[in-house]
Amino acid sequence: MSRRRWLVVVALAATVAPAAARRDAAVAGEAAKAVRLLGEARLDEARPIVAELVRRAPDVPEVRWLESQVAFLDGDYPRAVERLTGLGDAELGGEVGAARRLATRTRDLTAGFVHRDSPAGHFQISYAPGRDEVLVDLAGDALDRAWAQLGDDLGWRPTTKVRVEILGAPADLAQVSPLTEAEIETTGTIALSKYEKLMLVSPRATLTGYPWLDALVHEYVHYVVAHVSHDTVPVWLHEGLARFQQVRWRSAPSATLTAIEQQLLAAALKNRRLIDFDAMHPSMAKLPSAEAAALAYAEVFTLVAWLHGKVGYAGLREALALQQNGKSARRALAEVVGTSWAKLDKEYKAYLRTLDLSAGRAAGVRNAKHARIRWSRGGAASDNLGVDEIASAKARKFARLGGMLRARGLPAAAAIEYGKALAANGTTDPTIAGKLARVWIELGEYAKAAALAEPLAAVDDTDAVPAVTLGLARAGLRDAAGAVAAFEQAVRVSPFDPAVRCGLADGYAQLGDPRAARERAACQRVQP
Amino acid sequence: MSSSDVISQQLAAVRARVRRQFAACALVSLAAVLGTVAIGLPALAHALAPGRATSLALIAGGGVIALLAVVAAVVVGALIPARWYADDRAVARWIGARAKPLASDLLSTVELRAQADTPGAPSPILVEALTDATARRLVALDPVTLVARWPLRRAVAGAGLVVVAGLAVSVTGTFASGWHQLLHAPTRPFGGAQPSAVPLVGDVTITLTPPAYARRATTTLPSSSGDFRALLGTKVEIVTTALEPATAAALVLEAAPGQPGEVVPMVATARGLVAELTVTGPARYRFQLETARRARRIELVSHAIEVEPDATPTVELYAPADELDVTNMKRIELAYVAEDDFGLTAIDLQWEIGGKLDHKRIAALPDAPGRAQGKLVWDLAEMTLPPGALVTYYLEAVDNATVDGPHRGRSRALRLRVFSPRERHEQYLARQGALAEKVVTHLGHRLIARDGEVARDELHRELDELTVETGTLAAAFADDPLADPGLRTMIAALRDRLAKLVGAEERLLDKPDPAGRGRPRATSARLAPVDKQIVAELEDDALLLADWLEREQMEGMLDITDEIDAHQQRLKELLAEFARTGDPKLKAEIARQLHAIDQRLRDLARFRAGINEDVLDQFVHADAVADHQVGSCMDEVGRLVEAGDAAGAQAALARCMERTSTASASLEDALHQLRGDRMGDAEKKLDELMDELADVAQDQRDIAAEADAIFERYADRADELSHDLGKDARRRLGGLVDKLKDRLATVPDSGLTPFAREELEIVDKRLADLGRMLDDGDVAEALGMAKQAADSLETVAGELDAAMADDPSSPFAAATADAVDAVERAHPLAQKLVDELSALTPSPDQILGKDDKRRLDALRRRQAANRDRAKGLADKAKAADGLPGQAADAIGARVGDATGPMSAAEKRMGGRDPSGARDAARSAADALDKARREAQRAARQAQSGGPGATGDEPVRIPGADQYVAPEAFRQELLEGMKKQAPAGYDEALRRYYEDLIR
Repeated sequence: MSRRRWLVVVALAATVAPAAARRDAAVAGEAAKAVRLLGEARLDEARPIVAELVRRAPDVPEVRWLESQVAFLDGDYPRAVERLTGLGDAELGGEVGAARRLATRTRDLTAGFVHRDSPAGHFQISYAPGRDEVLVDLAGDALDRAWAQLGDDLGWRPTTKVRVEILGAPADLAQVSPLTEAEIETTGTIALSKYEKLMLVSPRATLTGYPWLDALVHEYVHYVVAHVSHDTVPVWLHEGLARFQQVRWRSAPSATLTAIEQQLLAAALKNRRLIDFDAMHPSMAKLPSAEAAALAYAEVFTLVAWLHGKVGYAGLREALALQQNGKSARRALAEVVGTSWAKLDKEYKAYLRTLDLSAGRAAGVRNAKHARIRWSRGGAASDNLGVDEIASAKARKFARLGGMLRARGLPAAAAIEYGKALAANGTTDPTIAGKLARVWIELGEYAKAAALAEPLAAVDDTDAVPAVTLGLARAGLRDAAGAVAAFEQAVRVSPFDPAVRCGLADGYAQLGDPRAARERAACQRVQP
Repeated sequence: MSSSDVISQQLAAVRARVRRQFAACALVSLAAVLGTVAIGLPALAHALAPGRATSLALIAGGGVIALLAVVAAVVVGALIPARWYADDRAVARWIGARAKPLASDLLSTVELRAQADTPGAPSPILVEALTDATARRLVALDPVTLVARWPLRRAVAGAGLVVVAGLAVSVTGTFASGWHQLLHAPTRPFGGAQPSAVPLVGDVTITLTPPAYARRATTTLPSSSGDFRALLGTKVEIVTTALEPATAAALVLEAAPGQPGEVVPMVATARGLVAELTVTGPARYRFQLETARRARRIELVSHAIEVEPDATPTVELYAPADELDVTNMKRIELAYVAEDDFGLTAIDLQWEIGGKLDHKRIAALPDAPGRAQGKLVWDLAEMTLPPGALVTYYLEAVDNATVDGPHRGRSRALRLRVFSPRERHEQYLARQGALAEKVVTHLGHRLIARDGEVARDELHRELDELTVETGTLAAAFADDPLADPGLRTMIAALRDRLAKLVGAEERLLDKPDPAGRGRPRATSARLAPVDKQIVAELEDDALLLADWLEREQMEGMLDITDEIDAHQQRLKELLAEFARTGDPKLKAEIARQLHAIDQRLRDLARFRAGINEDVLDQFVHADAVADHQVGSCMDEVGRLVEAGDAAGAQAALARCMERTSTASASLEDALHQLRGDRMGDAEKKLDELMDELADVAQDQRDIAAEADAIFERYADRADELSHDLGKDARRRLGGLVDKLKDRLATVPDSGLTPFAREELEIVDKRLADLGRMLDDGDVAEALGMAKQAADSLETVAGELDAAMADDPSSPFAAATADAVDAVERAHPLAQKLVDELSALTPSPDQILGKDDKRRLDALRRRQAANRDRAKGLADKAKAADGLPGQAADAIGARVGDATGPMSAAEKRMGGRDPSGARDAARSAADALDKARREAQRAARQAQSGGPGATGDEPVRIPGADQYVAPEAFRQELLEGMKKQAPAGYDEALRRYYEDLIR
């Protein structure tokens, strides 16, 4: 619920309470307070107030709505629906209807879900029984690590288990969130931190996967920031912090932009098309395209990375504390840096121009407009996915033929066509190179495959294809450690690829890693 | 132990064995003899079929043999061996006979031992020595070897043979029946009653009461011979008189010859001896009397009971054709004529799809008529019919027989084939897909072909086959109305190119050896140039075929979306009707449409599953993949309809339709992008035409908007003028209206026909309206009312004239004549009213302001220019070549259609008629918008929406409405009616003929 809607309910709670309840002035006051606390992500503080209200005036619509809200935020969806039974949709300015729709949809969608705790017990992961089971261990492991690391970085750790829901499709996320399916697909907003839980669309809804573990941790950062700041941080800073911190579960803080982000930022700087921070409100998902969203992330990421370089985590924590105490984000950041926002903004813009963004133009980097999530539409499997990214029409033609031949079990012929495609394109196209490398694997030419895939995997860790190919090539070359490194990169994007899970199982087994058993089970589970 | 004891012991052992063997042999032989008797006796009985005495003799003989066998067994098996081998010497001889070297010594030893204490006995020492030596030799002999086993084995073999024979006899049943024959005395015929060659009873009267379902009257057969024929279940009463004194009488019923009869006692009544029975099958019966001395006599001659058959009903099925190709949502008109001799209770429709039988009752006939006929519409939507399914169907008529169950008669079986042009087109597309597969595979083979590794002959043969297959596909598409002309051209051109290459390669290949050893291998150097050409051609062809397939697949999805839209439109109408009337009968049709939509949504998912993910990823947006959403939305409509919430269902359907529409638009966009990406030239040409059409349509909308604005100002001005004129008109025409009303009041009601009365009421209403219009100052509207009133008066006069002409002598004729006079007197006043109001109404030219006149002139010139542009566009489209689908024809035709209203608008504008100009300009704008939509659909060869695509009209039986029974049948009927009916059947025959006539 947006802050504005919370305020509407606060006002209603204060003024529209029925006569009997109004007589107990404290009821209205306490209801308003509970509403405010819920709006500030302070569920723990709101809970006892709502419990007391329920004891005193259980039938007052505002109280029932509050009780429903608390049940919903606690994940007790049937109770959330039940508490609204008998209330009209139009009551409380329509909030009852909205709450009922959301709670009902969520209840119905998650009815068959099962759940498991993360290894350290900080997260409870719910998912539909089936193939999504192979995500749970990986997700739990990453989140537990993020829990520890973010606790140090941002100075707050949740005291109760954080709920995580893995959803089957973008349509499901649209059902249980304010986002529409079109917004999710257009901007690639595939995960969300809202309603005291993290929601994530399973990578199985996509054709080539997406960096789902980083996305999950990204949402957890939002969760932490919202609680630390009492949800006062604006979207641009929220997203900047989340983007900066999303890799902390697996690496040290880094200001390095991905090649695609560099490409986007360089183009935006050149064309003076930077996205204004305020344009990012109310959500990145509302931006017009995936490219715009990626650029916005690149901008806010560089801002937070730059600030981190200046004031460190202590400064970032202080900025959050200042916002919790009512300061605006701009003011808080300026105070922490010890300057005015205007100067800070100017310095930041100047800093942007000093960045080395040349990696975005390097050979083998995908065009940013193609670095999008590819959604499964229920069609027939195809080897030509991504061929549309190839710039040269002639190269595209040969690459399509290569895919058609590979699909028909003619890898040698496919290699010839991909070779023609590479020659026609002039430069190394990552799509063609990736597909050719895969064919070399099938022909047993592991060295050739590794040579093609290695630079691609290094330049773009969000594309699973070169990483998988590299893993297979290294495995073929008896380099178990190298293969595991490549497969670990791939599993962060494409966890349902049998080649990845089985490759990891083999690699871990050869290295004596105890995770081999987990991956072996996953390998069997993801087989088509 | 002494040697003497050893010998005694050995002799005892041998003795025991010898005796046991005798006993065993005797027992086995005894068993064999007894077995032979036990088997032989029944076999003899079976073969000879002896009388009772012979049976007893046989049993006695068998018994004697068995007894003798027992005695023999005792003697031979026990007594004789006991006596013969009681003495050691006999045993010693037995042993000696089997161990000859020992024979003498053993016998001597035994005898010497017996003489040991007698005078003259040999020296004990010598005897002892002989005894020792004999004992040692005897011990060495195994008693078992001394007693041969063959006698016992022979006896057992004999017994075994007897057992086998016994089993064989048992299996054939001879054993049981033979013994039964031997042991049981045969029953006497007629239960021991004495047969009588002369009748025992006379004056037999039989009364038959048929079962209720036959609806026949009870029939009495007086002075009967005793034979009769009746339906199963008929109750029979037989009354007769005994011809000699009797203490009791009975009927003996024999269901089958040789079987014991059932005795039905006869009761002595005042009418005579009475027996009652029910006919359960064909039988014969005899009368039996019992005299005072308890002697029973029975008639030797029996009487027959014959069963009158209840025929299986017949049913004739009429359908539009014996074999019918239908779509899976069609409704088919069926008709039937069924007949039965006693009555029909039901007609069932049965059908079989893939070996699975199903049925539905199409007529329940509680009155059980003898003949039934009817028509029905069979809705195939009730079934799930996969494309290509073959449905065999027929009717079953069920009669009302209750005694041996209802009989079922079956009509001839007819067949339906679920088929649609779209499905045939899909089949061709599947063939195209298979061809594309082969092209790619062949390309792969060519790409990796190395001389010496691959037989060039094989590659050449593959290419040749590809050419042939392309040719057959080209022929198939030539007859496929749904195939895009571009696709036909492409396939034909592909075949020609491949054929040329086949020829070129053929010329370069080495000639086959005349000895038939095949071709020598061609070298790659010689073939390289043509190989390169072939590879390049195959590369292009593989992509070309794939592009067309992808396009056709997406067009297929759009066709299904169109069908869903059409069904939703129909559903919308039905729901509106349901909301208005609440008629529960509509629910079936609503369910039919819901079912159809559900099927189409499944088709949509099926179609999409066949499209490559890369195509969907590149071109299809999430909005277009709406089948899941629309499906759940339609489920909600279904639930609401089921709950009777028509308004809720309408609202839910509106949401579903919105989603369908979004999906359709999104898919259309996807198709446009795909065509643009894969077939750039054709799409570019289409885009140019469509852009031009869009411009013309936009201009026309602008013209229509301008015409609207002019009309609005004109209408405002006319209102003002009318208001002023209205006051004047009210004053001037008020009297005239009142006068007219008075005249109408004089029309005598009794002289009016019902229609004339209704029409006169309309006149009254129009006059009242006219008054109100004048009060409002709306002269133009008042003029319209006056014209309607005048027209209605003319109609009334005409109607009354006609009534008088029809029946001049009618009692109402005079009053009608008065009414005609009164109406004719009123008519001139009405006409005057029209004239006056016409004179008062200003012309458009008077109303239009100067500026608007100028604007209208300018608009006319714009309209003329736009019409010329539209004409030019239509001509350009007609001349265009290579546009997707039928887009060129559609643009040409539809834009051409729009030029008509455009010319009309121009004419109206020139005639300063703002109202007409507005209507014509708007109509032209609508026609151009329609042209755009049609062109878009035609570009994708839209395969639905044509006449009857989702039409509800059933497939009718040709001429069924005008059905008349054939001449021969009618003649036969007349002849039959003339014939004298058998006694007692008059009523039944009359009903039968009545049924036939009906």
